[in-house]
Amino acid sequence: MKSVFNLKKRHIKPLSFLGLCLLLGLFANPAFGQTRTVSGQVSSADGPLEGATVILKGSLEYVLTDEDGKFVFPSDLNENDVLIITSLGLEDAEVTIGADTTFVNPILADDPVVIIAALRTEPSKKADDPEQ
Amino acid sequence: MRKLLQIIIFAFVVSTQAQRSDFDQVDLTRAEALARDHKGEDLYALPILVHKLTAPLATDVERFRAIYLWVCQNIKGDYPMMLENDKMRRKLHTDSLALATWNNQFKKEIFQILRKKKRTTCSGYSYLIKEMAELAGIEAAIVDGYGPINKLKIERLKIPNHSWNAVKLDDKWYLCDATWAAGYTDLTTYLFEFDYDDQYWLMPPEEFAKTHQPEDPQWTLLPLVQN
Repeated sequence: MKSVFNLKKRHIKPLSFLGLCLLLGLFANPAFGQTRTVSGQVSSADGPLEGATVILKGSLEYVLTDEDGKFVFPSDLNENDVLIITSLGLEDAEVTIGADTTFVNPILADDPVVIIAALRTEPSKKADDPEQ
Repeated sequence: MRKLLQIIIFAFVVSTQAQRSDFDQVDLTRAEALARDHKGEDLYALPILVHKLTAPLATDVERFRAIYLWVCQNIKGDYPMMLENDKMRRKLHTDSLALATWNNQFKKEIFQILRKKKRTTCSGYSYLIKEMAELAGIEAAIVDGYGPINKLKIERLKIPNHSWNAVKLDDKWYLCDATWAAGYTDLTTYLFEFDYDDQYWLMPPEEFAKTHQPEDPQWTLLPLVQN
């Protein structure tokens, strides 16, 4: 049976070149085939950090770190996605997902705060006079 | 004569500076409704909470109102923690190294309790206000200083015992105190009662200075008197 694509030998070289270009083009496109699961471990100066929040920048998606500071981000991420890591009392950190990032280990720096305390002990109705 | 006029104008400008009446024309009901709608949410995903509280609002004063009110209506004062902190700060106030070490440890405890139980001391309130404001793109500062509580007069306090916030709205700094606005601790039961007091929201600096004396006098927001 005769092929539908009746290729002559002289056609093959340019066609395969075209095919190669198309294939390369597909791989070079960042939107193609590069989403992946990203996991990681968040720490502070004292070691693994429990309860830190890992948020995908520009979305409402987030995950909390477990008692070992570890997390697996719930949705697949692309190259150039940015994760924001926050925890009360520590500085925020940002991690940009690279071409082949599947694991990140951000460290949150200390945010210097002096703890002081003064609480009100009267209902507000009596608080009009500061001398009381 | 010109000088007198300048003084009068200056006094007028100062007296009209930085108070809640600057925003009398802004309707805050939407901000207040947002704070109410998100009552009970937790602090784990702070940026997302701030987004929910502020995204539908158009002005900084509305956004800050939603944040401030949410904090005042959702964060409890922790009286035992305050006592422990006061005791240690008094005990260690001549030993800066020991104080720093202790502060560092206590700080971790404070933030963990704030995050998990939404209970804190005034440093936790002012820290949270600043963090949340900054997440909403509003400049804010923590102000440490002296506040008379429990019939203690300002003159008798040797070390700062209170902290509150300054916030920049429309290029002007304002003062507020979420700790004292939120509620009070009933000393017969040691239980915290929410009892929102609106007077500490952008209180005029003259009024604020009667109960709050910042370590750095700049933060009174009053013209500085030369000694």
